[in-house]
Amino acid sequence: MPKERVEMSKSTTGNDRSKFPVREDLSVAHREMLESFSRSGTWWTGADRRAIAMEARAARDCGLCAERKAALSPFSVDGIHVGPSDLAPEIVDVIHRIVTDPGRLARSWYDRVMAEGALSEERYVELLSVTVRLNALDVFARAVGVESPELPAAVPGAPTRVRPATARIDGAWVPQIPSGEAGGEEWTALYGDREFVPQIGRALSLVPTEVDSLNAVSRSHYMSIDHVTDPAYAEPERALDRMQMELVASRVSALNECFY
Amino acid sequence: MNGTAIDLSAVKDGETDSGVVFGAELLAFTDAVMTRNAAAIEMTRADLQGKLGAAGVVDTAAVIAMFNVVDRIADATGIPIDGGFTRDLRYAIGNELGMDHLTPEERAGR
Repeated sequence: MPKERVEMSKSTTGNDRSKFPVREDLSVAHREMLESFSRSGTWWTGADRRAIAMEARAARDCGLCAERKAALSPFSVDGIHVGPSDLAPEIVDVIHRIVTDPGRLARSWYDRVMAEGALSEERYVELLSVTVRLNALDVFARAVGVESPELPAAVPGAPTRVRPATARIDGAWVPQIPSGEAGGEEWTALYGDREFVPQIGRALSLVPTEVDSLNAVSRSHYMSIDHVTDPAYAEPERALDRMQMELVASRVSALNECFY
Repeated sequence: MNGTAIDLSAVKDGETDSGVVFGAELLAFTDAVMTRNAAAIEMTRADLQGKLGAAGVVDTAAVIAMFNVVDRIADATGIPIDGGFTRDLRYAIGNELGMDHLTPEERAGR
């Protein structure tokens, strides 16, 4: 695993260099994301999280991933990924697949990853959260015409390693905090008195702090996850109405070959 | 939403007139960003800015970024589709458009 760096550089999103004025809440969310990649989380150190983020960034230009994406089966092509590779090869492979070909991830692949032993369920969920949020940051930068932001140096610290006691398989591949009474105080701590939370809001609940991170991204980039299932809801003071947002969202999902 | 008739074919092909206000500009910019085509990004971004202003560009970029998050989380955790209306709608749209993305059930069985 990569070594931690002691110094902490000042993180900057680069949004201030865009020709397009970026809303303050978006820039705050981006700064928080950037800094979170270099701080220790629940199951990974800051150095590990930073390495995961760097690998996620490199995956987009990986030749092996491009070859796999073009293949009839993404599991039929072997090779070595192009990237910093500061992590175990099995972990690098997971990151690259999530970034470059998520629509063809399958249950049997997930089961193999768990059986290999390089990742636990908890570390997988946290790795996923870091990977996808780094990718989002870079997608946004590309869209508004600025360079991808530099990641701050890793901050020393130990992961908290707290797994929700109620977490169990509840419909997804990964364990989740179950809803209602079964989830008890752990559900209430994350979701208050809500009885229903969309699956996407529960997907990362094995690592509750990553649910909070996803909610922060959702609020600033789209809308609070609480409102997603209300087709009449639109965030105030946005330049896009709900129809326009959903058109863009649906097209992104189609291009990602995502059924959801 | 507002009762406007929408042609969902635009979601699949990116070209059909969706019926959404400035839908063509939104889709063109989305496609350019997703395919990482620098020249197309610049051109479609200028078109979009002409219709929705700089704030429209930023908010579109934000939605594109967001759905690159949620799509991957959904695909990598194998969550099921939420029940009820959402589920019925999602499968109906997929069938109507002939979209052949793997369903959660298919991915669970592979």
